[in-house]
Amino acid sequence: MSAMEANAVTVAALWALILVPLLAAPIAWFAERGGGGRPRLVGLGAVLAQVAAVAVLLTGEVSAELAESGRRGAGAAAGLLAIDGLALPFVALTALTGLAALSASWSVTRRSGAHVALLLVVQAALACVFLADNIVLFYIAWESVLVPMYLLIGGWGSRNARAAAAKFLVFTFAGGAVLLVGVIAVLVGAGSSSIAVITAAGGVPGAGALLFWLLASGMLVKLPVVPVHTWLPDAHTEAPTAGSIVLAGVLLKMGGYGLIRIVLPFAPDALAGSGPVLVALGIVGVVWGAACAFVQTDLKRLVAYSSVAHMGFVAVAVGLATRVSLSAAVLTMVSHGLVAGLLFFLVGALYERAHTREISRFGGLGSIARIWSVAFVFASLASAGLPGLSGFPGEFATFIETYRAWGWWSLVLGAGIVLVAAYNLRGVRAIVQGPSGEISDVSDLGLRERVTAAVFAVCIVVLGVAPFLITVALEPFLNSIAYVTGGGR
Amino acid sequence: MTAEALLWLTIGPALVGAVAALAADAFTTRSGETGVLAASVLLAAGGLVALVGGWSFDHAVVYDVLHVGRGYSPVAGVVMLLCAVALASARGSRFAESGQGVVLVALIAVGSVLAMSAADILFLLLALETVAVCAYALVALGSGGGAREAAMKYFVQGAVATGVFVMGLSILAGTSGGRLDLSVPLAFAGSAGSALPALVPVVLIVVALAFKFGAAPLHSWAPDAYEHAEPAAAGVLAGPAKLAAGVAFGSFVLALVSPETGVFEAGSLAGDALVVIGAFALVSVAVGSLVALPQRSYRRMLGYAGVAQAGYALIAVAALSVSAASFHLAMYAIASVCVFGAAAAFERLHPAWDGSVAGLAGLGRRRPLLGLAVTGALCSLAGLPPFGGFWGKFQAFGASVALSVSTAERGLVSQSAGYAALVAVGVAASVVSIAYYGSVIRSLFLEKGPEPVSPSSYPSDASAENGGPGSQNPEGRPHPPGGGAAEAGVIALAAVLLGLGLLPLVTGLTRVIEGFSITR
Repeated sequence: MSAMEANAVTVAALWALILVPLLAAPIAWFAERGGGGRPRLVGLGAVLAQVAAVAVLLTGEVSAELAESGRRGAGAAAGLLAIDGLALPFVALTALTGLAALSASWSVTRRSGAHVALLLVVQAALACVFLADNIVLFYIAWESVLVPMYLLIGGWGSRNARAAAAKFLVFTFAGGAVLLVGVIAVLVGAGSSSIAVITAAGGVPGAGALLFWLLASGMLVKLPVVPVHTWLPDAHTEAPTAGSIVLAGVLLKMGGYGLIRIVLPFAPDALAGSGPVLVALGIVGVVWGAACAFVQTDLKRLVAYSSVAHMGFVAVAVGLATRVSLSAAVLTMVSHGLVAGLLFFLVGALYERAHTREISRFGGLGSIARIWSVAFVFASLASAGLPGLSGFPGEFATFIETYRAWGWWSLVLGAGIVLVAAYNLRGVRAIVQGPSGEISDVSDLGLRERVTAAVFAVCIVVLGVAPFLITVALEPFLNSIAYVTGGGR
Repeated sequence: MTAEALLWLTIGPALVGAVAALAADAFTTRSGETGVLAASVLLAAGGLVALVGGWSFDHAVVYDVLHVGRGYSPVAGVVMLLCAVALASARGSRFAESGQGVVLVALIAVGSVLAMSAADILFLLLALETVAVCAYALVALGSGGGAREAAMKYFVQGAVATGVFVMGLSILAGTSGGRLDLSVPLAFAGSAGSALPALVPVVLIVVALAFKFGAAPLHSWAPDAYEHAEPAAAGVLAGPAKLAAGVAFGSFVLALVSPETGVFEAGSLAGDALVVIGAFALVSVAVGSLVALPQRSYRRMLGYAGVAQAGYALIAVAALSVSAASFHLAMYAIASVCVFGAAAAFERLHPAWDGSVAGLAGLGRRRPLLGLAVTGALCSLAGLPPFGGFWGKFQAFGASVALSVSTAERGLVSQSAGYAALVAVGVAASVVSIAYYGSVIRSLFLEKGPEPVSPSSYPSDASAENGGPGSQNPEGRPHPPGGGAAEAGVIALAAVLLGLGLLPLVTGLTRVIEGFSITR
């Protein structure tokens, strides 16, 4: 395969990642007229197409070419889409979580056409966020996630879903509106809308702390960091399982991805002053999120707060902005996408059977629903950062880097790590172990659910054993922003 | 084709339509249905000519009083087409049964096009008065005592505004020796050697224009009028008429900029006037958003939201980017006709609707396509991508940010801070706007309707979607004949907004907005 053919394949794969789910959405909607089960088949087809496109990008000569030249574009003249080692893990995560979300919503019968259609629109917009090479397109994709997700949470969520959905919409839109000013300021300051061009030029000329925070505030609400995180526990808890999986699995990663892709490279000079603030926000997030998770009585809310804690690690790693810490941030995000996706999937499956998420009403599930319990213990250990599983490398590297930069202050982060382990073990003990609780007639995972959980588990192990799969691919991108990791220009 | 021909092909069909509808109304009974159709076709024809001509004709001034060509004709085209759509979607409603509404809408279209194209202040006044007189009558055509009251209020306030305008105009006429083109205030300031004497008539006229444009604090007529007028009439007043008033406002302000001296130098007429414009922008954005938030009535909420939208356009005008203002207003006008048209569709689907946002509960589930279209239009109004309204807000804020940066570089600290404040308030108001626009989306889709919608009834009412006029609605009653027009109009306009939102990604933004470029 010649270089040109390889490029054509890449271009086709990039467009397919966005357009296939987008075009499949109305089809899924109309497919409901042929029967309530039809839309999910359309959705499965579209998400499998996304997985196939990712597989094409991952395999063979396209991948080799990618490692060699770094960033590869589609629609090169327009400079709209591009893929590199930073975007690829996130796109793969998007496709994988899409599968899990669809699997989790397999039994949704209420307006299933609209449900699948909204899910597919979110999938397309998410893929577009990670693939955009144009800051305006990036912003458009970024905001396009909002309304479909709002309707997904509000339309299919649990009791307080409408209020949670409104909170989600207002918080993230507020962040987005500030981000818009940042995007405009970038266009005015750099005179270009191409992310690649601005990065190659070493950032936006004259960009200071103001631009840094204009851009970052949108990302930090999505991530989220602690003072602006309050939308997350509500939205994640009240959302339907598919919504929670996509929210925790990919949506939060938009924030971290945006920080690494846009904020750091565009305003490198502000890093010296603003980086420590990010680190501090992150440390607060880890401790606060873990402490809140520890006292939750609702299992889904516990998992939701654990997201706050894990995303705190990402904020710390991004704020340190060294080569190692940025790799760690990406690792942590991908790992959390897999682990939280799996946890929400399992909690959703349990809720479907028991119709409650109160931790105190469960107990001894290990002898009632064996496979579910094995998967839950596995996911909890991965979330706690057990070495050999995907959570460990990223968080460990973040801790080391924090110690190198901040000395003994890193012990606060260490306390957070202990808390993270504590709430995970508390969850396992209360639900899986001990005497059986009030709810004792829970059927075990079915075949569809077992396959989904197994796919996630395999990915978690692979990433835990071989984190270099991601870090090696990241090298060309980190080289291209060496002016950031070198401590500013 | 000459520039004069372009002008006459734009407004001629509408004039013919207005006269014919007047005659038909005088000599026949029940002229409405045919008249509506004929008038909308004529208006649409004129609009299409202007839209196509606008991109191919360079800017020119005809008869010394009217701008045509690039920058102006595309906006005129949008005004005409929107009036046509508003009329067409009123087919089958009570509004269309009398011929008077048709005449008024056609005359408003003509007056609006003349006002936004005016290169002469006296001509601007006459065109605006044509619109105003028709608008009073249009509001009064609404049903119920509220309509009469709103029309009376609108009329009295409008008369005061006209008086203020005439006062400003007479000062200018007294100093210019009869010349009244838009550059007269600038010449006056030049001959007086100071901006101060010229500032008096300029501020008087700006205040009158702000009233016509519905900018706060001169906005109190707008929510009343929009709430009590027939939905189609409210769409015309809130959409195309406001678009034209805004562009006229912008052209007037732009003509104050002296080509020789800088805008922000001491004693510059434009610099002083921009402070007033900026104040109107700030107050409109803040008041419009904050008062829209607690509204319960759908149309009243849209009325206050329209005040905030006028404020966004004024942010662009204050940043001297009338192109951005006119593009933003064009997107706003399309969405406005769409959401007011939706009010007509809601009334038809749900005859017991009390006009409140909460009363729309579950309608989106019963009519998914209509609900999605309204959602799209509301997202566009809130400035969410990928809808056309995003690009409008994007440019309005962009113009202000660019000026804030460039004034800061030139050491003009207070101007830079002023533009930054405009952007900051605009962004904050955008965030508030998602709450009130979102409340409609929430009602449409997330709230359960009065009658429980069982899953089994869902596919069947979805299949009634394509049935059009005369098909059965879920309650089993046939729709009133021709009543599907409002719904079709809403869906078409929402599709246009989506298309306009995506088009710049394909062609680049410059290609789309160059038709709207109004420069000095």
